[in-house]
Amino acid sequence: MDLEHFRNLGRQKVHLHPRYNLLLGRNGQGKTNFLEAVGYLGSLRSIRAAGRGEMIRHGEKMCRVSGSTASVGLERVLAFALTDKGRTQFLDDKKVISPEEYLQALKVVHFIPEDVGLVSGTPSWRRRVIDRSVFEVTPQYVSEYRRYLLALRQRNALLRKGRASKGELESWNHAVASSGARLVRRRRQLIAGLNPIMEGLGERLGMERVPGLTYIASHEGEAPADKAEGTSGSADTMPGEHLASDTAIEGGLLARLASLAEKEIKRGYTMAGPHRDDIVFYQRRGSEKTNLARYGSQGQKRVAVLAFKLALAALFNKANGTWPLVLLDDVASELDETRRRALGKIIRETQAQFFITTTGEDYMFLPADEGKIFQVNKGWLEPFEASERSGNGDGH
Amino acid sequence: MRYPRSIRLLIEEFKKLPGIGEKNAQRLAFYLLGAPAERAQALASSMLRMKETVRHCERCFNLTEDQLCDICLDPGRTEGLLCVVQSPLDLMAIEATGQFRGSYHVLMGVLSPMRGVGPEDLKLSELMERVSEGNVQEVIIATNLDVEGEATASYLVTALAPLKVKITRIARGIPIGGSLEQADSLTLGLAIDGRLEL
Ligand SMILES: [Zn+2]
Repeated sequence: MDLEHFRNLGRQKVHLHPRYNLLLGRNGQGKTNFLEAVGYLGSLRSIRAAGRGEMIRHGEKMCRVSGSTASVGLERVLAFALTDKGRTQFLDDKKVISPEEYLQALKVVHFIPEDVGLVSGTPSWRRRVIDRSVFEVTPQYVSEYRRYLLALRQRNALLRKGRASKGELESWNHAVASSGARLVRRRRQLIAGLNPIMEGLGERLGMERVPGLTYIASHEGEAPADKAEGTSGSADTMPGEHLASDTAIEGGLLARLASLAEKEIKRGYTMAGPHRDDIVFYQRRGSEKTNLARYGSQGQKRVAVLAFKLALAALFNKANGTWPLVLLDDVASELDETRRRALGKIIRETQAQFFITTTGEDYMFLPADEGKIFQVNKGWLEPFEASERSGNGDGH
Repeated sequence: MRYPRSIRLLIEEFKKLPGIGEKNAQRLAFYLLGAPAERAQALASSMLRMKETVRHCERCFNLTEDQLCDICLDPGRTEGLLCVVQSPLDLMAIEATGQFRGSYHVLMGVLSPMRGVGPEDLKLSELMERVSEGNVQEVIIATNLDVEGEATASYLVTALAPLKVKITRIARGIPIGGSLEQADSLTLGLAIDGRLEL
């Protein structure tokens, strides 16, 4: 990687290890900034949801980051430049206009401490994360998603008009239901693929209750359609996952829209559909499932989100045949030694390239010969001398 | 640099046309500037004449210079097969296939609450009236396959249901010469749903 004016990072070339890269250093030295640069290179998005201007070194007009990767089989050079006016991205030294095209080149999955909030945060946050993940597995999801949004906006416009004829409303119910059913099915498919991996990872990370995801459809049962959208994730019943066909989902959604119509006309918006659905974290022991947002400790939530992110990486690999880059920011500090050891083992057995930051010297017992360790100091990455590593390393 | 006012005005007029930007507008204006006066005259008068003479067919709302369009007047056309389209342009596209020998009905739009278009803004009551006359055996709905076109189609199905007429929808599928691999999944999914028995 080649860095220029990205946050506090010095202008430098960094040779990374294809397996794991451990970044050591005190807070504020630039470890997470480096993770952010790697993440932006792959996803054109800040892992900290920062604005463009924040990523440009103070006093500079632009920043530039490039990196070469062989992660999708062939050698590619990715680069981006940010100014206060906008962003330019390059693939193999050619400017790429379409972000969609650029985004196919390198996939990234990240975990930052703030992600723990995903469990108890707003449903829209969880929907966004799930939708982006579906897109990584199924690029066509973008056009399916846009089709749904358009149908939804049309129907809302009609509801706001107030005096829609029954026939006209029905035709927009159909439009919303048929495009919405596809989104629901795709999200459920993703979750069905994730759950066994997530539960397995949870078990390996020493969880007595294994984590997973439940899809709560706003058109089913006593769904949250009637509630205002708040910091939910609070559904108390944990329905089992079932994979209905598009037609079955469409029928259910259609029936729900028909019964809600009167209320919706009063409120002026569509109250059921994938835009109101929720994806809830559960923890399971045997056949007993409980809502993690409600009954989980901070530590359990942390492991659940970590398992979710690692499961996503595995699923992307399954779908695309290549592992995404995995960025783990300050992941080990809150884990006890047994869990750190378990995480180290998972990392070693996962064929992805990892970028891991840590403030302490908790190496997660990764063997020195399978990765590289950097000391991050005032924006500079320097190879960490192996001789300085005493006593860690799991017998290696 | 600044153009003389009359050139500037013409460029601005061209720019209001769909698909024409500054560059193209300049090129057109300078072409006309260099062409013989008759060329500009012919262009201007044909535009005016079109505006004066073209109107919509009173029966099907296709474009015509008379009360009824050529298709409605053609005795070789079967009235039993009625194809419903969004716009005269779509009608022309189907005509270009040379395959369809039925008649048409142009809705003059599609449902779009966002743009304030409801059923009352389309040529729907006229369609209902034509179908109730009893000569139509089959209505082919040929609105676009986008969100608005589909919603309009579903509206038509409900509206026409009491008239006990056969209703069909144009098939959706893979373009001829197109490969499956390149088709988007939405199209491919619909093509599979709409498969035909051989
Ligand atoms: Zn006509």
